[in-house]
Amino acid sequence: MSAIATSVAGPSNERAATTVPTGRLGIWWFLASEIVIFGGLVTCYLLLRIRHPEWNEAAKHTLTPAGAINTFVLLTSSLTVVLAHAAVSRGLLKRAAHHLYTTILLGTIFIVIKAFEYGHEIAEGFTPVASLFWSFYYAMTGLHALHVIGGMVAMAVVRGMALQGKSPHRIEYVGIYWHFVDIVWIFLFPLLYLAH
Amino acid sequence: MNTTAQTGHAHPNYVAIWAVLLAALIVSILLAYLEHAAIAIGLIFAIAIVKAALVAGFYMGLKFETRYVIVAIAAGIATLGILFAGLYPDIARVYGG
Repeated sequence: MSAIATSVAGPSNERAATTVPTGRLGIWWFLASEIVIFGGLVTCYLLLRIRHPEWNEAAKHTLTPAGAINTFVLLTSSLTVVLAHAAVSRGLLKRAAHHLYTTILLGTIFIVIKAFEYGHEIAEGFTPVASLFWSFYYAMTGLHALHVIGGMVAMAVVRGMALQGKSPHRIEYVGIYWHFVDIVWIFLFPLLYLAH
Repeated sequence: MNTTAQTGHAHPNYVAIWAVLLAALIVSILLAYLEHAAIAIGLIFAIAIVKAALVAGFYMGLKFETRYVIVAIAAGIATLGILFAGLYPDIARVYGG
């Protein structure tokens, strides 16, 4: 068993009472608060959308192909980050770092495509103040994009630390966060692009 | 060192799950072109829920987590429910229904 693997499974990383590592439990509680943030936005959007059938027309102007490509990109990034977790749990630190690098790259592609979409939509006159639909669109996708950027920064930090042998178990935690961001997009894509 | 060291469970076939997620994505996009919008939207959201469940269950490992993690998620969902209960009357008052 490698030193890395020992530290990953080490007893200092786990609470005896819960049998859940403290960091993992912490990230789940953090995600519980995120459920309220994104869930609140989506709930308001749904309640208003049901009462505004004219939003269907606005939704037709979102770029479905770009949204579909971004969904593919995020789903694939979820695969690469979970492969990083699987690699680190086998003590394969360099392979895990490689998977994290790929995940960061995919996150960058997502942001670039999103920026292209924003540019196209604003050029068409669909600014955040064009209508309530577009206000929700920019609020929800913008907040999500900020979470993607935050996840990429966290992943780069965790990757750098893991390569030095410091806290490689955090790869799993940053992965759990990244999957949550993926789940949020799984719902945003049909809400904003497909349902019209 | 086996694959269960940190997670406490064996790693499932992540690539196979990814393939299912991609297939579900393609079906969702095709459904958007159905003539009957209400059925299409219902199916699209049903598929989104299945996709989210696959990611949460297998990629996030929720399927293998203890009740302490389930409590955390349940607390988040319950708080969201309270938020919904607070918001709904206001929106109903303004827009009716």
